[in-house]
Amino acid sequence: MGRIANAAVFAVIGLTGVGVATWGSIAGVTCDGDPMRPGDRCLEISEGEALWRTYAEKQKEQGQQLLLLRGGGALFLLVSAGAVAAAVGRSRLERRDALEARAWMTVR
Amino acid sequence: MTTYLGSDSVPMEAAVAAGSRALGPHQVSYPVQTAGRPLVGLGIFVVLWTAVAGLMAVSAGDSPGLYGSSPWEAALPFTVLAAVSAAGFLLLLARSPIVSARARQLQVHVFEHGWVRVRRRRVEVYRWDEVLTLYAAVGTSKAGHLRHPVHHYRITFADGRHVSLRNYSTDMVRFGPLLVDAVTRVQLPRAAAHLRADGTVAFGAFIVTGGGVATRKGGFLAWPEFGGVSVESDQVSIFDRQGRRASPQAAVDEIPNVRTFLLLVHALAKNPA
Repeated sequence: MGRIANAAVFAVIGLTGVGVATWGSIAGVTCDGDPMRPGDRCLEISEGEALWRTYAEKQKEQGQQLLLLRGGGALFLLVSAGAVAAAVGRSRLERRDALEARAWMTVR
Repeated sequence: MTTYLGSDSVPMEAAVAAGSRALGPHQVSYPVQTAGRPLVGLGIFVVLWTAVAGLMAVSAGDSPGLYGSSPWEAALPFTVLAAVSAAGFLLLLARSPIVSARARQLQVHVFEHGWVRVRRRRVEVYRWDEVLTLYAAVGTSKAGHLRHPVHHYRITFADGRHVSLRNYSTDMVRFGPLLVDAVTRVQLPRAAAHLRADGTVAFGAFIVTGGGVATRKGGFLAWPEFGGVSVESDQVSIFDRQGRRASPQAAVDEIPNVRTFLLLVHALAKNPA
């Protein structure tokens, strides 16, 4: 049960990452949450300095973030699938062990 | 059939359950444990998230628009985390024997032929001779400088029931070794009898035979060459008289009835069947 619980935690994290990345792709390029279109500029304030960013710059930056999220999410899903496979394999072995033990535990 | 109705140490429900399965005389009782580490951990999270929420609210008040439109908005995610941690802390505390009279009644009562576990909604009865497989994971888990004792026993019974006993199920430091000893005492003569009658007894990755120890992967070490069993870093392997490892390593918590296996092999190595 512990292995399945671990797999579930990894699956939730992975699905969240992939889900957020997919949602970000649908939402398109944004500036402070507002959708941007080619030709728009976005004002960012960092450490007291104002910086104008173009649509292309924001698209590249947000594209990298989404890729990272999608990749990380996929990695967690892969680990989750591995944990499920290991749990299924372990469970099969434990059923075999119980069956074999039944044979000699019935000797009196 | 012996029952101990009205005994000070065994409540009526446990005594009746023990009598119904002929468990014999009562020996010892162990109380359920307070989940101390999870409580402390959740308490730390409550303090941590509350402090971060406070800092976020103060920072947002000083620099409007930096983290959100208002101090409350900025602090909201960490306030939610603090509230969830606090809810977990209070739930654990309410169910712990420190404050709950019912939790103090949730004990494991050991009898000569088995044990009774009083739980919140039911009373469970188990006999030592009904244990088919007992996997034991006992040790210390390490996370950086933090060390955490691990007591995890997974048991399958002849009637198909599965039980998992962990650190806080009861006083596992005492009950764990007692459980392994009692189960081994029942299993060892049966394993030896089956070996004489059938010629093999399997223990997960290892198969004990009249001629030696075989592994699932096809290895075999005859008793005259058998040097012993090594249990190191939670890994079990067999080695020959020259001290060379003669089997793949198997995790100790993946070998069923590992104590019975070790004692059987030890006895056979000295006096082969």
